[in-house]
Amino acid sequence: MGKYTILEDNILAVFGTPAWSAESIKTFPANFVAVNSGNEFIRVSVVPASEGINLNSVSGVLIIDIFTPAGVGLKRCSVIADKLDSYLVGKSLSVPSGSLQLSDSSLAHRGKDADNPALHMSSYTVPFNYFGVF
Amino acid sequence: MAHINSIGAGMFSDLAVCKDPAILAAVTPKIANGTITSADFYAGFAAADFTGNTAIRITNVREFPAMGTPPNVVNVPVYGSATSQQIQGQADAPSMELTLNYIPADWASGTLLGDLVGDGNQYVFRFSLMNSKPEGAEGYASSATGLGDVQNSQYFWVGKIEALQVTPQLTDANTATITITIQSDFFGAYTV
Repeated sequence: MGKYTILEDNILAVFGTPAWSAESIKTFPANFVAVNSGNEFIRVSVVPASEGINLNSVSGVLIIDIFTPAGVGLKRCSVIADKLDSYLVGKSLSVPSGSLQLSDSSLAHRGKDADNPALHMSSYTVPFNYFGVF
Repeated sequence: MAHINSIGAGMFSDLAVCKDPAILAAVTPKIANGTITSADFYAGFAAADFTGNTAIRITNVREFPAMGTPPNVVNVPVYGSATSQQIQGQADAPSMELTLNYIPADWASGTLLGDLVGDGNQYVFRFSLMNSKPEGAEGYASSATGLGDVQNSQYFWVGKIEALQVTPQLTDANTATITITIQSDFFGAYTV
């Protein structure tokens, strides 16, 4: 299994745990056609866009778009971001042939969603490093 | 747990000091006669020591120095040889400078850490290299349910906290540099 597949599988696996499911926040991977997504959900994109420390490593950023109802303030978005922090920030995931570490997060409010103005979108980002070994 | 077995960043590395004179008295002769073991050091960093304030974490470290004694490699000319040889000479005793994100309340006079600065006494120090946060029942204790909750490598030495220098920052967090002198060899790496 290659490093990109390992990344995708192990990061998305965080959102398949019973603990995250219990948060009751609908979660979709990027490039997934969601049905009945409602007015509150998140969209997870793994972007391994930077070089790693060796040929088997890669770094990048995990971008999670948070969608909440437009016109009701940003509190809910911040609450979801805090929940994401507790599952992601500073975590080390043991993965095949290496380790995956996530560092500190940030949150940017993007305003009304272009495709659905009834929703507000914020981007929550966490840089990550995947350290592969030979 | 075990030693860290993969490449990674030591994001949750930790420095702690044991101020219990009984522990220092116990380890000093064993260091001198070469019978020191990891258990002797662990005794100073049990869960009860952290709650009883005889072991204290030095938190908010911004930058760690290299841990260990630097080598003193000496080049020795060899007659008739195209290259010299190298031998390990007696190494200079290192001093260690740590940069902290400074919280004055943690280091004020009369506090657990503040009183250690420049008091001239030796203490047992522990550096723990960790890539993950230990979330066991005993927190940062050197035990299976403390640091043993995650992969860890621990190093111990005897030293003194000689100085604390505060650097005010106008646009960043205030920082401080603490200087620790090393009074023994480094021992480790151990793991729990």
